[in-house]
Amino acid sequence: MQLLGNKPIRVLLVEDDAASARLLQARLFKLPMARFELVWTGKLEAALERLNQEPFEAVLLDLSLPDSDGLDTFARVHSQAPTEPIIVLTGLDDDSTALEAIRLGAQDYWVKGEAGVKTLARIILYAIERKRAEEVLRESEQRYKHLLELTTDYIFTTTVKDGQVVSTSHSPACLAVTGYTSEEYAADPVLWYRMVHEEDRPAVVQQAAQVLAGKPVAPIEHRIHHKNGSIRWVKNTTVPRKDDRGRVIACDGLISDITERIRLQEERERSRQALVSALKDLQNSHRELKAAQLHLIQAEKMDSVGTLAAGVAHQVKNPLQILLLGVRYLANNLSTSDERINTILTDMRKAVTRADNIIRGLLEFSASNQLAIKATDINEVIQQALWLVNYELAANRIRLVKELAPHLPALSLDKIKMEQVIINLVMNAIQAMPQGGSLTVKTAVAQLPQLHPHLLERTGSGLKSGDTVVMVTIEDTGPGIPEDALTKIFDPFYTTKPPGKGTGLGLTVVKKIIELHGGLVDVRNCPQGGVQANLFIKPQSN
Amino acid sequence: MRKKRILVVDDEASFTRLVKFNLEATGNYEVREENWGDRVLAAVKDFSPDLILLDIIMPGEDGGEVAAKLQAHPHWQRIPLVFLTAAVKKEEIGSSGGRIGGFAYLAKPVDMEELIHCIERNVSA
Repeated sequence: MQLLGNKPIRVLLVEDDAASARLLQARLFKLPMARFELVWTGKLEAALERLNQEPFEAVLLDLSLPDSDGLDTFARVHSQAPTEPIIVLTGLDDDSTALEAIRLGAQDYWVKGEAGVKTLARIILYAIERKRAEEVLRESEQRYKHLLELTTDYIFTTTVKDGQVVSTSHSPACLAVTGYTSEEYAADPVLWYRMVHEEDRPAVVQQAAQVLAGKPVAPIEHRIHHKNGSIRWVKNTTVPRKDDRGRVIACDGLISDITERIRLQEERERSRQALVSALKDLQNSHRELKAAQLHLIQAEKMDSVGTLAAGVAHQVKNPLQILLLGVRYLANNLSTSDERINTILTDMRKAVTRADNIIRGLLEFSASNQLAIKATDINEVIQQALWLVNYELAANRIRLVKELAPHLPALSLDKIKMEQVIINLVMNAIQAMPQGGSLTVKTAVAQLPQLHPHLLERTGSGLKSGDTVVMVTIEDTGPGIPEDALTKIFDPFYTTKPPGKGTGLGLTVVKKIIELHGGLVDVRNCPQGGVQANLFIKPQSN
Repeated sequence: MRKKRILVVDDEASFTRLVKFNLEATGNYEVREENWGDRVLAAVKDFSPDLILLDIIMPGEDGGEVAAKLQAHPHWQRIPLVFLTAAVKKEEIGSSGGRIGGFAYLAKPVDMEELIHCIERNVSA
């Protein structure tokens, strides 16, 4: 018994009969084969406490104790000391209980009085040795299992005869990667195929076919269904093995679990996508900010022009007044036969009127943003405006076409300002047709069309494409606006009219008034020629 | 027919002078100029106008203050007042003259026809 050495073997004896315990103690002590050191206790509770305090190399356990009886005694000691070998002590007639205890994990049993103490000693030593071997085995099994769980690769071989798969063998590590054991693969020759993800099967089949044809094939990456239902990614490297005549006799393969790598790749891709979309959002915000900034700059410019204009206008009105009255006096009281003087005075008077018109336009433009809003039928406003320009229409031989839709929804309008808008647009149209032509004025309920986003963006109108709006269209048959001028037509003092004809404020005022009404104005060239101006205004909400 | 007496008050002398020349050229009016707001009461006392044309924005006593003083006077409160101003737009008052706080007013620049029309509408004959 080399293994046990010369150290005393500490054994816990649990036995309610003090006399027989002492006797056993004495007899075991005398044995030459080993030095036993018996620690005795008569009750279960005391035994459990001793086991809790110190290790023993074996336990001799009588199942009938004052505080416990039968297999219950064994169960409690075994659960308290699972690694200590337990030898059950029984009476003469109790083999069946002892055997049941062995089934539950006892190492052996000794029938008191039947077998000699030498036998008991041997039983103890064997029990210790057996238990130790068991522990070693259990430990190595655990280590192996643990290693197996960590394994991410396994190899397999498919044996082929005449191009047909004869058998497959998988190394044990297949359990860790796929959840199936080597035995399961051996029992089911198509398990390797069934575990492949449905979508990846064509690629795997193609690879297998090429390998069977004896061609070297690049590794492929595909998904498999793990036995536990999860999906794993594997890298599958398979090569053909040939006999000395060059025939394929087997395929050898290596399956590597690359799930983690793919997961990281996907995670990286997701992060990248998130970054890309964040970047896109940022770029969009930047663009919107820039547009808003442009709008603000424009608005601020308009405001300062307006403030300045109002100040200048008041200052200029008094000198104009003096000129006007002076010219009037001279015209009435200068008795001269020189026609040129009368012409000059007439020109001067016209010049003063023109200057006054410019100033009035400026004041319109800078007028306070307060509107005198009333529920208004836009058709009435148009009729009134057209009546005011009646003379100009006739004088320029312009045919007026009115297509005013009846029963339009009421609009929240400042009647006077809206009349000004219509007059300005109509006057532009008239001045574009000095040789005569046709002026069309239309109203309709419409859906706001897809306009240039810039138009919607720049105005704070709150209108969106598809909104129901009342649309006013004023169309002429003139030469149209030069394309390069289209972007500037709303700028103050920008005019395409000959000197003296326009103030360059007409459309600026139109735009300002329409925007004050929460509407939009869109001026464009018609494909068939001429200019079309559209006003879009939201009906009153009820 | 007695000529109607018009007192024109404006800090700009060339304006009052031209109003005087133009109105008197019609032969229907006798016009007195005044370029200082604080002298208006004295001018009214001396001249007894049938109508006063009054600029609103003037240095010293402005048109509003002059109007208030006239309103406070038992006799002079009945003299018609027409304000002349560059501070309002024509569209807001209409060509025949609108009213501010009960007073008629005209927006500069005003043409002679408008001025005469307005005087005739408001003057106490």
